[in-house]
Amino acid sequence: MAHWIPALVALPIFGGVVAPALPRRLAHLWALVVLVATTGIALALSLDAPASYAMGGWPAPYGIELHFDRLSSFSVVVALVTTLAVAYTLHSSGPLASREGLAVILLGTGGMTGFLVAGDFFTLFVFLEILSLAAYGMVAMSEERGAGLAAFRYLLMGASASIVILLSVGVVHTLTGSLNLVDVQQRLPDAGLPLHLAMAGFTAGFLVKAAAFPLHVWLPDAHATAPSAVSALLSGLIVKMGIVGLIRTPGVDDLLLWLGGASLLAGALLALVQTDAKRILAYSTVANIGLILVGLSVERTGAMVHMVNHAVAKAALFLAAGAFTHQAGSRVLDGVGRRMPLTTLAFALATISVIGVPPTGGFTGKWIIAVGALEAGQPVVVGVLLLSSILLALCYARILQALLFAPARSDVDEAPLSMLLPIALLALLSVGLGLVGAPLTAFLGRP
Amino acid sequence: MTTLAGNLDYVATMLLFVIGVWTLVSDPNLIKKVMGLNIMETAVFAFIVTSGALEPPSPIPHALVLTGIVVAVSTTAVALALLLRVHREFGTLDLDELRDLW
Repeated sequence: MAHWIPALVALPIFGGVVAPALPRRLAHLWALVVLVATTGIALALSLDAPASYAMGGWPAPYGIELHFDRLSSFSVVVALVTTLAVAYTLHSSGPLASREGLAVILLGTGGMTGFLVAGDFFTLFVFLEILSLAAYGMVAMSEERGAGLAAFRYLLMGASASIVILLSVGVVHTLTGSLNLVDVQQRLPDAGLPLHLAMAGFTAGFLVKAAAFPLHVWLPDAHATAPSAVSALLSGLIVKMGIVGLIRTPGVDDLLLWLGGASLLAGALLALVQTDAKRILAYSTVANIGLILVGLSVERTGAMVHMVNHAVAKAALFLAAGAFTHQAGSRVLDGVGRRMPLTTLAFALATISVIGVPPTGGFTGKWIIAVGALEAGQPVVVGVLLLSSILLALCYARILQALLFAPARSDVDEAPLSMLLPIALLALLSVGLGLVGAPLTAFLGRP
Repeated sequence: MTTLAGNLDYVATMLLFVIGVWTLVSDPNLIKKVMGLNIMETAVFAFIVTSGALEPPSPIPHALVLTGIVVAVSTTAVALALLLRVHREFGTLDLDELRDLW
């Protein structure tokens, strides 16, 4: 079973490389087939976790080892959400639905799965760069004015973060002579200041990638101008890779508590003054990343559970927002929801999950993290969490109010099936994951 | 060997890194910002290669740097492609002018 781990990484990359050479009609089908196969491989590997694969048979520390552990099972979510996002673009005519756009999405997926199974810093860095470059490209694949500039700003911040991460890798290698993740983690408790500074470098770099306050500034513009499928991938999956990086390079857990709290507040407060639905969703992501950061410092399992639930729910929200904009022909959403009842229902279900109402998925992670914070003696954080949730609930209520309680427009029709099915599936999944919350937590909690 | 004079080569690379950060942050021209990023990347590569000369000499930093160079080249290519798009849409590559236009 372990020899399927390289396939998990190689298949989407191979798919991405082949995609531009295919005839245009075939490219979408090819992308969907590759992504469904990747989901299947990830699912099979998750049931068999943990597993290791030494590339070329060379054992660690001489060779490159790929590890598939509980955190790597997030690759199921990665592949599934990407499949649904690609299905969403089936009848789209923008640059993202072209062969090159699908190739970039597939390469990004390969980067993410590779990042999740990396066993040493070198591999981690390489796949981080693959997924980041794909992300910068994806944001620009939009016909919106300013998408190129938003993508460029994302690139400047992301590449600076990556180079700080590379510097930290170099410092770690200089100090310990090893690049193996597990090896360095074991040396941390006895290590002196230089090694901890290197871990701080990792933390700084990955916080930019995860769009945590105050390093989140690239996210709202990227979301406002990127195509909706890309927003779903960006907020749902790519910022989670920053969190995965933080988990893989532990170091400054106390700092994460404060930064998480700051993100929770900042995201909620900044969302209140927004008028564009996608920007509200973007700041909601910043707040939820803050919640996950708090979880990393008090109750790691809760952080992983919320990663999964937020990815699914936020993807549903962004795809639905895109469907509203697509059908309405503009960013003004007043009254659009009354003519698109199924899409609005899915949007409302996903909203309930993100706010954290039981028994939906968003509740599971929030509950575990809140209880963990109380047990760790940090009640202030729980207060911040509640305040943030209330403020964000207000923002989502504003969106739903505009959708449903304004006069209906007569020129808007329900979203086409290619858009509606992925949105509905993701919304149902975001509720369903809450119903299986206990088994999910147990699954992710085991090492 | 923890003296400043003993680690002069590392200090030099970090000085170069700071120059790169300064260029990235302060210059309003977007191409200069990409150059600043490249200077930062070169400084990190120099740092890592220098660390490979320690006792015992290790070939791993060389592999790390080669990979890093490829990544830096790809990033620069994507950055310049994005700048072509920005120039086409806004007619300028100066951040002060772009702020008024966007």
